[in-house]
Amino acid sequence: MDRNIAPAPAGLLTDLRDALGTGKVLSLTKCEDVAWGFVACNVVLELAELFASLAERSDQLVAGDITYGRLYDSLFGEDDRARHDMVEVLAAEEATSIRGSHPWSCIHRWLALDPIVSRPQAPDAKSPPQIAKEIFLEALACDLSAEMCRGRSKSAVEQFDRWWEKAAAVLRDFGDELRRLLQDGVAGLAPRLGDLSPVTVRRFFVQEALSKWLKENQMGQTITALTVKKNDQLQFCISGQNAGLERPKDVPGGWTIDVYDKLESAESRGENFEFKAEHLQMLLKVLAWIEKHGLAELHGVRLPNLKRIAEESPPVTAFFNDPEKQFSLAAVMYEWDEMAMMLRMRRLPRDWADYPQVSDVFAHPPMRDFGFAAWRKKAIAAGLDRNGQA
Amino acid sequence: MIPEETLTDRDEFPYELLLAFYRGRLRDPAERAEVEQLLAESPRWQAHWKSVQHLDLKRESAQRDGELLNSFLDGPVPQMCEIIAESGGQIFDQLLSDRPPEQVAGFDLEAWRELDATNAYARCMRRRADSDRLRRRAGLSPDEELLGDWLLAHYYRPALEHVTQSLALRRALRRSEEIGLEEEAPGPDILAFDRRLFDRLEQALAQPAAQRQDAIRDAVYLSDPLCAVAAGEAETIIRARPVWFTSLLAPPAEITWSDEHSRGPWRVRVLDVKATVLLQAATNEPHVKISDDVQASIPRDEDVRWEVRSESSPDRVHVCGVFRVLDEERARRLTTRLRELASATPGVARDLMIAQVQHQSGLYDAAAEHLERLCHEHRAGGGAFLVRRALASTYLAVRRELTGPRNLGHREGLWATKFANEALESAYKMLGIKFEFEE
Repeated sequence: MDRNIAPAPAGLLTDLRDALGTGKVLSLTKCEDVAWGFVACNVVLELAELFASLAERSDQLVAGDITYGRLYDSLFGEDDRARHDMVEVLAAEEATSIRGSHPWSCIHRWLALDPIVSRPQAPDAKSPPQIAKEIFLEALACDLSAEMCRGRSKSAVEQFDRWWEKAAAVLRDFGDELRRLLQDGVAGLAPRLGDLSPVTVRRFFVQEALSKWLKENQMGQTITALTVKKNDQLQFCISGQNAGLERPKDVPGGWTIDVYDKLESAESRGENFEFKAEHLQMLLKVLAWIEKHGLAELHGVRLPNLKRIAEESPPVTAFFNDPEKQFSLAAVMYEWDEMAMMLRMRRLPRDWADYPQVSDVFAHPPMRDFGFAAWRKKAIAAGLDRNGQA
Repeated sequence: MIPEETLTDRDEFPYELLLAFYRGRLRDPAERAEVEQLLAESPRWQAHWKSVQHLDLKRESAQRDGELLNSFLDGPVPQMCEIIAESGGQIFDQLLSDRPPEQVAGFDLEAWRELDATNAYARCMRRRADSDRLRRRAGLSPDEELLGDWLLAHYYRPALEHVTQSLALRRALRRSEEIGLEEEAPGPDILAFDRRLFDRLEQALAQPAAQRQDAIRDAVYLSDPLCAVAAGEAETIIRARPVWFTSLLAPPAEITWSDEHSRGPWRVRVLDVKATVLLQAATNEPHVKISDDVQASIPRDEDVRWEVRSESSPDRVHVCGVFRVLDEERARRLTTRLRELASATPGVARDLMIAQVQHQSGLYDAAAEHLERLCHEHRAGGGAFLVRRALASTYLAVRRELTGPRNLGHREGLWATKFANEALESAYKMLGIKFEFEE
């Protein structure tokens, strides 16, 4: 289906990001939503920002004490040597000051620089693709035990290479267009946009053009393919981290949700819920599995009500809104949620949401530093709207 | 500290902040304390908070239900689901009340409970009703999405809307077939809703979300006999009673018109087909009484024209219309027939039958008045859909009379088309189907 690079709803993005932090992975459709509605938008926004800042020779810092103005002078000056020195200086500055906080911003910057700097002459000097790939490979460094969590899978690396090749080629072609836009386009556009400053107009225009360019060159599909590979790797990582700890046998996959639906329905109607013999049988199995693997201790969870219910003779009633009774429906639902969490997370750490493995799928900084609603507003203000008519 | 505008802005709730609190991610103790205080004191925050209890389980359930809804219409659908869809979910007001009746819409509570436990559609609609209830109790606007829905709606909402619209449409078709207007009152069916239109619309609703709107528009434009393109832009509409063209059972006792955009004094004339003036009057109010003597002079079974001019612009007709008082014998027969119908079992079927008989007899003024009152009574579902279709039919008939061979009032014809289009748009809206005529 033909899609546009346009910001996805903030609720959707927040939910998917939150879901990943609870041990879930994305479906293929949701990978597409993330790729087109977030990752590709960031590629456009970050490249446009960089190109506009370079064109303006802005005083803002790229890394360390290097400004865009200085970067521009080095990259577009006559001196080849200075150009390659700048690549090395920038890489070194990044390694100390930026890398680790947001590897994908660094990768996007090297992507933008790749068409501008020619291949290095010195045998030990690194080119932008090499530096970017190093960042990509190191982005998952962490304390997890499973090997497939710490390094990139072969297929993810291959897809990264394909993505880079495609994106760099698109940007090389974009070079001429960019020059034309920066030199000729702004004058024609400015009156339409009223009182905006030339800087704002230029950024907006660069972004529009870039978004269109990336869309025409099917960058969305390439970014989707990379997102899918990263998501696959997350799945492998979760499996690896939970190796030898399969879900309890004889407990159907959707059982916790089936029972939850009934508990929730009873709560909605203000009724009691009756655990029948078949519920208690399954509950006993799940609780025994949690006990056997020490998951309650690992996650710091206690399930006193569920344990007592499992030991009772059926039927056992959880009472709605009656604190005098032995089992309150609210307490039972709370513990049911905790029990389902252990079935889903198993050995994943409770702060899983902050691991780079998770933020890597979204190619964005750790959860606690990010707000999708604010991001979406900025993206729309920058010209990436829902219609994607850039 | 949480920025002040974040806590007071009624337009946009700080969803991510509350989610971060729920996940234990607010590191700043002062920020945490503020949220705790808001949760203790603010009904708004409490409603959002309640909506994310057991969020992870709700998410898994929403995801699974969304998948089930995608193929929901492929299999047999319980009648109770159609009832839910037809009511637009309002049936849950009864089902979830503190003291629900033993039976709702002909099914006992145990059957509804069982449906909720086993049926993804019923479950999703009940959850939507739960959210509505939370919002109402907290005094929130219906537009303020609760945090739980803000996060999870993307799993199921597009499929839920599709299923709701399709089921409501099916129900509406069945109702229109059951009512059988044509059998009781031969002639064109005032509802103008048949299986062919239904099939086209159902196909349109099944389109992917991105193409659905266009497909619905095409289906209505190409297949709905009530779809009329307005030839020209409608200037300020001036309502009138009797409506711009109508037959009447008896001479009117009054002519009224709207005056929002124009002021009197007014000059009113009533003329017969030979241009004999039956009434000439001046008035400061936007209405004129017709005396018994004048009423007695109004000929039966002939067109009678009336027109209103403002004294400030006497060359321009402010509004005009034509009525035709039926001959006494026919009027008597019709009055008897309408009385019989009015004494039948109350319900949409009876009400539409009355409208059909009025419509068939050209009593458009009576039909429009009757149907406009019914629109206030029926505000959702298949009944509301059919009532609004009938109203669109009536205004279209008025339009045909005005702009057809009679060529009586171009502006008034355009206004009637506009009213018909509004009624038709509103009809589809009753089924949750958004459709707007292009201006």
